[in-house]
Amino acid sequence: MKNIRVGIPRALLYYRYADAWKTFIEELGYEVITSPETTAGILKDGIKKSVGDLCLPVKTFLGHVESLKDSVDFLFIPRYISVEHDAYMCPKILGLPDVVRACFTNLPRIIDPMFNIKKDKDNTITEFSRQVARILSLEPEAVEKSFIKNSGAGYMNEQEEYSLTDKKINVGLIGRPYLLFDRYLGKNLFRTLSELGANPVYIQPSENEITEAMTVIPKWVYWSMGKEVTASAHAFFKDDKIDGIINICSATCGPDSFTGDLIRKRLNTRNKPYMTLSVDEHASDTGIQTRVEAFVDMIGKVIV
Amino acid sequence: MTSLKGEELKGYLGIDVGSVTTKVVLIDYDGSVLWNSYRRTMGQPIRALQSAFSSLKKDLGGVDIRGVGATGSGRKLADHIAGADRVKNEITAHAVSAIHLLPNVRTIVEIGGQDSKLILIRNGVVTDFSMNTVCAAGTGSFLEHQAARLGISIGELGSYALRSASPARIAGRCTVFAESDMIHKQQMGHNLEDIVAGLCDALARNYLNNLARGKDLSSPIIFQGGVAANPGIKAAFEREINKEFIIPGHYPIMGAIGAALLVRDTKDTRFKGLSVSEQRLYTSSFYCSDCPNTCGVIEINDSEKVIARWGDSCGKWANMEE
Repeated sequence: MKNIRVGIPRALLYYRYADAWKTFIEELGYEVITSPETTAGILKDGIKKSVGDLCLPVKTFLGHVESLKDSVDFLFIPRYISVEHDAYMCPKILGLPDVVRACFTNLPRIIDPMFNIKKDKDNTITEFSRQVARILSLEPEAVEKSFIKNSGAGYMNEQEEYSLTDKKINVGLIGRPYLLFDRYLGKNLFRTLSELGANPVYIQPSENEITEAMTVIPKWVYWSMGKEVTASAHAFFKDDKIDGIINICSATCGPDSFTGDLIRKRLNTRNKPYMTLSVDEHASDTGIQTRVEAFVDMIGKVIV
Repeated sequence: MTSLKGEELKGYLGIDVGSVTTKVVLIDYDGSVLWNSYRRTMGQPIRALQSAFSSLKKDLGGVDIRGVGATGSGRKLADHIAGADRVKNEITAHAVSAIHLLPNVRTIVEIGGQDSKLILIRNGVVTDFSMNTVCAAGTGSFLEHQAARLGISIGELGSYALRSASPARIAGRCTVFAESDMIHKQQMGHNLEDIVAGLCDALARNYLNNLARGKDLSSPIIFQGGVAANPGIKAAFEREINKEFIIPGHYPIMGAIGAALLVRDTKDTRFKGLSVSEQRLYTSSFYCSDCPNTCGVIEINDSEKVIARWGDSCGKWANMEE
């Protein structure tokens, strides 16, 4: 079994589950190959492979598949439908293995187990593991044991801390992790803010914070990630130490267009500086730089 | 303005290198404009800046420049060429000059060559802003393109619009659609005045839908930037929201004035001097191939010597010592 290589594209849910996936697959005895960080070249390849009107993060995902596909034996592209009760991933993530198959020919075999939490059923992980075991001809029990053991690992573990400091200006950053932490797509917002003398802050909201935020808005958000973004926004708006909030989203993201509006209209009751940065494949760094600079100036109340 | 005999003129320079035009102003400590230049960038910002500097020298003779502020999308370039004490984004620069002119201003509408901005001010500080995204629908470049297509000069566009009794209905969401809509109206037999007025309405609507959605545009409203030259647009805005749009005398150079206002307390200026206009400056560029990002790196050269480099995301070219 040595030297069988499983590729994980560094995009989308990688930025949530990377560590869990990596250790899980390695423990099964495979070598894990992760694609490099997104570059202009990777995005260009993704756009070339893309069909129809896919969003920027999915196009990027395709670019990562392109960079991996010829050097691995399997691609790990699980189908995450739901990771909690009454909340879902967006349709493009639901259909990700199908999107990839439709956009490429000559792909290595895709490991695409379904992760779908359903009401009244507690066999999500067993079912997920059984599908992985079938594709890789392994013992389902061993796969399940390994998955459960590793499922606690997240992505933030390898990130720096982005928390409050004594700096004058603390800017709360909200957005999907695959935009915020992809330095190319997210225009390196963390660095840009630091260079301007501001302190970027990121939080992953707790269950309680999510529940609280959901009671303030008229209706529960049923996209898992949208719910988190909304809850982070709510926590930041309440926190006196946070001076302003930047929401980074992909220009054509459906869920983000709903949550963005909810955040602006329902959560910003104290009129804190709040800005949406929408990125697409044409967004220039200059335009982002200008907006972020002006935002920091606005918080710092630059007057003559 | 002629040079003052005996005593050398003192002032602060504001440079706004925009996508379409390059603006340079000289102000005194109180913010009065002593001299200004507004010229087309023509795709060559360095040349535009150099020629502004040589006319400054020609017009005023010697002048003691105490501070330099740079703004506009070419602000970094301006800094490398001229040596700026502050390099500010154009949103802040526009806000600074408008507040200086009218301290109780609450809304700034700024439309330039390829950018449009909305800045909300409360109690003399910026509280919110928005800026058009990649689409240039509803900016000066689009108006200019349409004026050229209709065979009228950009300066006349406004007066055509004002003569219209019944503006044609034109879609303003996208320049491509607006253009095909205008052609359709022209082939239907609408007169030029109505089409131009319709175009102005479309531009104002586009701005209000994109930038002002959900925002409170309260008076006083200042309208600045090159497009404020067009009385047809001013009229369209006023018709649309039923509020007065105040156009400052120096509307096209407000960004540059803002940049200059920001450097009035400079101690030792980094300004390289007006002689920059005589240097043999040219730029060159290359794509770095050291990593897959393939950043485009820009070099400014003075004769054979590289004086500045930028554009790389890792900074290794920008920080390289020659």
